Amino acid sequence: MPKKQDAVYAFESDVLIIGGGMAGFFAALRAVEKGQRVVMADKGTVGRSGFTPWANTFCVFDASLGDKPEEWVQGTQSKGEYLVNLDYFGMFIEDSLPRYRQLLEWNIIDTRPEWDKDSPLSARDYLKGRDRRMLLPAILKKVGVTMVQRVMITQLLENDGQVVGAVGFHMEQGEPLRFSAKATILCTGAGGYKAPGYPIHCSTFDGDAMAYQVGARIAGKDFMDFHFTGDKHPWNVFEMEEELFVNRIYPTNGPTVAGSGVGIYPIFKVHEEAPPLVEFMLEDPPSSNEDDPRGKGKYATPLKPSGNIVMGAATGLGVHKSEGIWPADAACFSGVPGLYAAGDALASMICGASYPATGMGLAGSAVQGYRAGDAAAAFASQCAATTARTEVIEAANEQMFSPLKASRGFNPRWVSQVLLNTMAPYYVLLLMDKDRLQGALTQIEFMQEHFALRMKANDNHELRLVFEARNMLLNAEMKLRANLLRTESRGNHYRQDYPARNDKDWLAWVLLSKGADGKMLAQKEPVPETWRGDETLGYEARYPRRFPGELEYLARSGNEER
Amino acid sequence: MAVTIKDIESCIGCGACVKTCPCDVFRLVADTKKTTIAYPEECQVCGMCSIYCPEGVLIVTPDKVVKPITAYM
Repeated sequence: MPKKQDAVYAFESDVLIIGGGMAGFFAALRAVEKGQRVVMADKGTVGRSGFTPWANTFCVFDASLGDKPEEWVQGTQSKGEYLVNLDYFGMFIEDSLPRYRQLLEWNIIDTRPEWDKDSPLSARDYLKGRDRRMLLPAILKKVGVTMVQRVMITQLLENDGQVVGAVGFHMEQGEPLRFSAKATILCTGAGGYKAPGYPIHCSTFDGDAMAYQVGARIAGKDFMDFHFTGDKHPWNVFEMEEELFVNRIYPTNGPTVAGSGVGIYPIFKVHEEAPPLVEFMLEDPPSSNEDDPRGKGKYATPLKPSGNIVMGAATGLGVHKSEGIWPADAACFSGVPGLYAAGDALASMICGASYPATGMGLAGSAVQGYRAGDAAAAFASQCAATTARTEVIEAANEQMFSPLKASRGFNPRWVSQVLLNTMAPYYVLLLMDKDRLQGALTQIEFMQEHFALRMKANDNHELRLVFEARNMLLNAEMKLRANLLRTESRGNHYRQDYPARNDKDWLAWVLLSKGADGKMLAQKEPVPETWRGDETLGYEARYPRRFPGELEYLARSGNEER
Repeated sequence: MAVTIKDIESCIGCGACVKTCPCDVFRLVADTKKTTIAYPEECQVCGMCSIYCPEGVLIVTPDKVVKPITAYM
């Protein structure tokens, strides 16, 4: 197909939603319900893009099953180590059940018996008409959402300090696309460093990067999640095909009992001794209620990793819902007029410093998507249509296509690979230390300076890779600066040079923003007093999980930190 | 290794693989209208393309080999 770079395909709407996963889905539905015209732009195809196709647990708060809000709050605060945003957690308690019921009604959450590998029915036939990956876009289409798919959004557009849409290009045809909207919701997910083992290759922190550039604050980069892979087939940890395809979304219960928090000890053992054998998968938290359907059968799908488990695939992930755009209110607003965020693109901090219970990722996206749709619709309905100035759009397009015009340049695949090799080793982001973080930051700063604006693309596919590499570079700088600033250990943030919690200085989040001089600022944002849990508890009761070397460190420092 | 074309003759050019791949690995060839693995480097070995291909054209094996990547081009 001929490239049509001179033509501009323009889309106008009241609400623009970037990203078509669970958050984007609910944001779109809610905004339509509120009478708004909605356009959704997706880097892939709605329902099959990002990490959405693999999601399989949905955490539901259900008072009729005996759930008590105060127990959930306490469990989450303890596991999230007192960095939980209770406004957003309250929203989760209120809304997870209604969102779950909607998904049930639409068959997106399927309750039929598990598909059996030995059954005469093929996986394809079993799913006919009920494939949630196909249902998501079908439902959006039915309510009149315009979906623009296989589009790389490169930049948010501004007019007088308000976000008024975005520009991007279509990956096959290469047309520049312009989106004008009264309100924009980022539902772009999070990211990792293109590591093998988990299918997150296309999640590259795009929303965080674009929001940062227009002045939003970014949080939660100082907490880590990571996945494992298998040593036999590291690219495809589960040798997954049909099993993963037919896996269902299971309801899960809450963070009141030992949940699935990711601990640092397996990594530490790799460092200190020989690599340990890590047991596969965590048990579902038991429920005291026999009639509680949640969690039952969750691992019925016979997924077994290929070979021995190796920690360190999909590194550099954030903790679900705790990394991304810092909300300026309790309704998914970014603080930049016209810009909202939901799901893993929003640092709602419902999980705090470590992931407290399976299913909070997907359910949190549904809950926040709906609320962000609501808030963006309210904003859009009282706002006149506006658009960016022509020269702003022209400059954005010029910048967008410049890597295609370069005669020589750095290879974006190589930049991603070097970035991965800098950020992924366990001793950088998992066992942290000032010198090693600083060393990595020096490398990343060099890459930012020398590669970010000097990459070359031979075609539109490679142009996407250029923007993804830039977004990952910016995110790497955020991660390293946030980790350097937090001079303590907490949740999934383990500093070997500060191996204990420090409540005196660090009941605080780290916010990153672009300074007036263009340089990145990292600042503390204290946790409100009423969200700090029981501060009269003794240290070991308040923090039941131990870090390597923690108690010795506290004894040495004369218990000052307590 | 990773994604391969098992049987190009049975490709009907529906574009399901192009749409399904989250990493933008496929293109339809302009004149033949059949699929091609245009960007094997980006294959994340997830297997979704072979699942959504209605004609069984594609197979995905659980390993992958990447050719050496140069610093600039």
